[in-house]
Amino acid sequence: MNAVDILVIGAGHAGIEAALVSARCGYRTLLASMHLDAIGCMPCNPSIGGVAKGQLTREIDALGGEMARAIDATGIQFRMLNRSKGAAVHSPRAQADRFLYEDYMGELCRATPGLSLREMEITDFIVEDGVLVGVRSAEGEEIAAGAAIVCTGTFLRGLLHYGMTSRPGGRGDANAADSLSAAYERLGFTLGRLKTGTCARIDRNTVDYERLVEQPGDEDPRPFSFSTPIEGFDRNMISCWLTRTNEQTRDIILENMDQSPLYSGKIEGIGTRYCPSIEDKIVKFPDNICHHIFLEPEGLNTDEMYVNGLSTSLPLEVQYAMLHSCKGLEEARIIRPGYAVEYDFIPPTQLTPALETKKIRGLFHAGQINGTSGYEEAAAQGLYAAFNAMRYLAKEAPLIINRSEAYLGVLVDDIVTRGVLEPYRLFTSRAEYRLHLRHDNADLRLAAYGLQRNCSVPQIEEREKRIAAEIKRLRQTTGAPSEALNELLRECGEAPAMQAAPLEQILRRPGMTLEALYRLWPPEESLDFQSKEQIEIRVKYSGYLEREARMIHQFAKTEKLAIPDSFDYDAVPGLPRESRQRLKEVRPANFGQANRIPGIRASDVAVLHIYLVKQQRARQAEE
Amino acid sequence: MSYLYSDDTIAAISTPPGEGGVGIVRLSGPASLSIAAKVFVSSRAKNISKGSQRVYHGHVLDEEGNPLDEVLLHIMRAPHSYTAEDVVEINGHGGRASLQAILECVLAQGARLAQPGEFTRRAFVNGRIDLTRAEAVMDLIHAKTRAALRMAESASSGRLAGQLQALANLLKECLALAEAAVDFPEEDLPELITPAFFARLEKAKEEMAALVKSTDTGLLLQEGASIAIVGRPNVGKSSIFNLLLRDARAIVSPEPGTTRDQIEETLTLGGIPVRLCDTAGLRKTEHAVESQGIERSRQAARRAALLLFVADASSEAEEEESLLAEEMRQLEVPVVFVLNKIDLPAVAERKIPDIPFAALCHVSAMTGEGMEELEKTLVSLLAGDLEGALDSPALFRSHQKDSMQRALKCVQALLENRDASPEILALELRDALSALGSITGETTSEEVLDIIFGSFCIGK
Repeated sequence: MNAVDILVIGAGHAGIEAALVSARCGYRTLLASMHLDAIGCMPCNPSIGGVAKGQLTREIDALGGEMARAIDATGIQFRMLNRSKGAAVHSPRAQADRFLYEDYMGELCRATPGLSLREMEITDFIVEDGVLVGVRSAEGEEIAAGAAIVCTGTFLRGLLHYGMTSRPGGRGDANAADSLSAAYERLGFTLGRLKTGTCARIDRNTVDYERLVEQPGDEDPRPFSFSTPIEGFDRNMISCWLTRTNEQTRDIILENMDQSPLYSGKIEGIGTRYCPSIEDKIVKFPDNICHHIFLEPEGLNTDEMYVNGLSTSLPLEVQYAMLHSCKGLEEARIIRPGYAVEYDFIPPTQLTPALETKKIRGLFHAGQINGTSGYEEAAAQGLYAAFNAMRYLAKEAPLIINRSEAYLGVLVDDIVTRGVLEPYRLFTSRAEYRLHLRHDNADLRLAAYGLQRNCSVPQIEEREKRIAAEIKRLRQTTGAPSEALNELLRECGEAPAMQAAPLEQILRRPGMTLEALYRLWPPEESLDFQSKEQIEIRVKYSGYLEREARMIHQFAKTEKLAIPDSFDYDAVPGLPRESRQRLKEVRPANFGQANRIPGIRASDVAVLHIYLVKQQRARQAEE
Repeated sequence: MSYLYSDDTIAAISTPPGEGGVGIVRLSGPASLSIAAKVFVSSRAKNISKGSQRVYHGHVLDEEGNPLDEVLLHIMRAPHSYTAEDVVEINGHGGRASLQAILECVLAQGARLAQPGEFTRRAFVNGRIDLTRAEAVMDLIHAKTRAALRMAESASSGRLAGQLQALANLLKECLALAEAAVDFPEEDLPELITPAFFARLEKAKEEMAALVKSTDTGLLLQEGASIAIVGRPNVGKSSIFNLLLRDARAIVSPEPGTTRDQIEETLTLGGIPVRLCDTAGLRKTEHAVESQGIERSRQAARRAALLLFVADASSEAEEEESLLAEEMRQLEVPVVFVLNKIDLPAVAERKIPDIPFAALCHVSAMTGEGMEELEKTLVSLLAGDLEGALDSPALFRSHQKDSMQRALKCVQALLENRDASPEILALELRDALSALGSITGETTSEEVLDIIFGSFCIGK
């Protein structure tokens, strides 16, 4: 029997990160996929990042993951979203050459020592006394494994819908994995069903660009990885193109509603509200006929273009009619049709905050199997699950990253505590401490937990010293009103100075920048880009950051109050039945998490706390 | 939000409501002494912030520095206190309303209003209560929560609940706009942070400020409308107080100035809860203790919903009486003029102070004549008051006021900083909603997303 330390099932964005980090840490790792020629495939948007997702990608990088480096190497357009808003919500996004991205990831996986690849379908788990010991393949092969990380995406009982016809499949071009769903059922897991979809890909040679609005990349593109130098980074090679739907598009969709699997009741899985199909948008917002359509090239050497905004499961001929009704797409030719996919997921309240199943030790889940959506969400979970699989094998306490530390922490806590009712996507509005969870400080927040491949803790500490010294200087140096200062203030759109003020205070004026301030009061030694960025953000946001820091301080305390895994909720007198039920289901790791379970009241948690203290004291008395 | 493991400082009134006389405002936590030091002036000018285990005499001052109440302040240093934390107990004499005012003073200085059972919980967690009492603590939390739930349920059918919910919804909708501006920059959304956005919050701010003001009415309804009996010494105030109470609690003697302190009792008049307050006679005096009593009488009169102005029908109106009348007119509290001692020979054409009275009654506290008429008058006046108060929703609990005040602060901060980026506007709105959470329920990010997806066509 073949034996490995960590077995990763699925070579999508979650699987890649899980496998790479395991192998890099010296664990014998096997990456099993049904389609080894599609490692790191982007079956939906050819893009990485976006609001909250961009921050998450930077976090993956800070922890030593690969996604950021891969997009820096294969991206073809880079933009910073939310530029007009505060630095806390700046969000990097990039268009990928999806074929180059797959090549990059495939080559890297094949070249990583300790990582072996196998094309196979895993159909069953081998479990002994509630502990995972191996897996079984469709061919009957058994592989012993210390831990398994399941990253099967949309493949579990995947069902593709093209109009009213449907066929099994995990992706447009790939077979589904039905046996593993059955294995989960045999093991007593609860399964759920979700739906997602994608748009048609059209031939770029059949688009009339004259009639479209061009959307170029940023003039000063910023890479994702902390390891990619900012200076000289320029991978802006293509533009995206904007058009809109119109009244005619709407009429076509409405006339053909009887052919929609979504509205005829054929699709049972629950779809996402933030990623609706065009038929969904028309039905829910009938007055809104003008929807943005972005044409995104899928790569440099391909004719395929992604039609962002036109996700649909209507039949091919309706997709043609819809496209042709839009300005600039009158002659568009479809290369691949859009479709919807339904798939099984394992509701993530069955997981611990380490993403390990509560039922079977050594079995971890990451990505769409947990009901999330998005490449970035998947990759982050893959990395996190692998960290915890390794700790499990090393018999160490799990790595828990909490809500105040990272979007990754928000994501994991949300799904394991609150559960998932529709495919889960990150938004910055889900984070309580948004001003702290910025893309620019992901290294500072997380490097110590990770591999330190892309950024290193000693370097960050050095930088922090420089930053502290410079902020001190800005606080202690006074700027007296002068011709030069008032000239500078005028340039920045600010009122002239009436009296002397610390430089810090001058910098806090909305229009003022550190760069401008340095023209009059240059730093003693020239500072690097990241230091300057940190100084400016920390000075400008200082009051708000301090306010959030106080909240985090309180939050962290309840997170540290652990509830033992063996805690007997039935023994607590006076808990309402529904609360008891929910607590037993989620089995929160600490009092903070207990508090966030939907339906649990503060008084329930208070009673729990007292009961637990009482127990501990009784035990101490015995000893 | 849970306060399981808080190291902040909490405060609450720790005497049950409805009991007259002395009451305690208790503080517990590391900042107890420093907060108490900000509101308390010791009679011997001692700085108490470094004080040790002892009792101080002095006054609690309001924000403008006016004395609120004469108090005894008891300091218990950690771990030698009920909660094993630094504890300060402020013993006041001024009755419920004045305790409430003291509590608000310490909250304004940074204490947080304690959750139900929180002192006991801290005492237990810090090892001050033995195991056998742990169950009792849990019961207490349950009981208080049930009581609060009943309260919430009974209020939920009311107008107040409706208004609070509407307010929370408005804040949520504004938050949804700010969040959408951050989370969906690439969507084809209309302008989100518009003058209309601020106009709605401006309206919310006014409503919130009105609700904070209304708390006094709310507490009044819950804990009884207060009626103060005022008048010159020896006109029979205590006799009337006793008749209304039908017991002999107050000392009645013909010696002027017997009631040097105010005496407060709770009773019901025609089904309306009333706190009746017998005040010391209002007159000029050189006697130190009595002059303090007189000052408290004035304060009681200021807080009352209704004043009984008692005068002696058998003696001529003195100048002091018209001065008193003028003072009461300025309080803008309805005044019932009661001419007592009608059993004695009346003074012909007795002058009556020239201020607008809500009613005029003739009684004899000695024979009881006219008392029934007086009670009827009071009931009809109070009922009218109640109706008026019930017409506009009021906050009923100091918890509610505390929450509303904190929420109001955030909305004010937002409106003063309109050019801020949407994530900053959202921060204020999130904090406002979190402060309101204890009265209207927590706002989850899921709810906000629901509003966004319900209002805008978002997603690709």
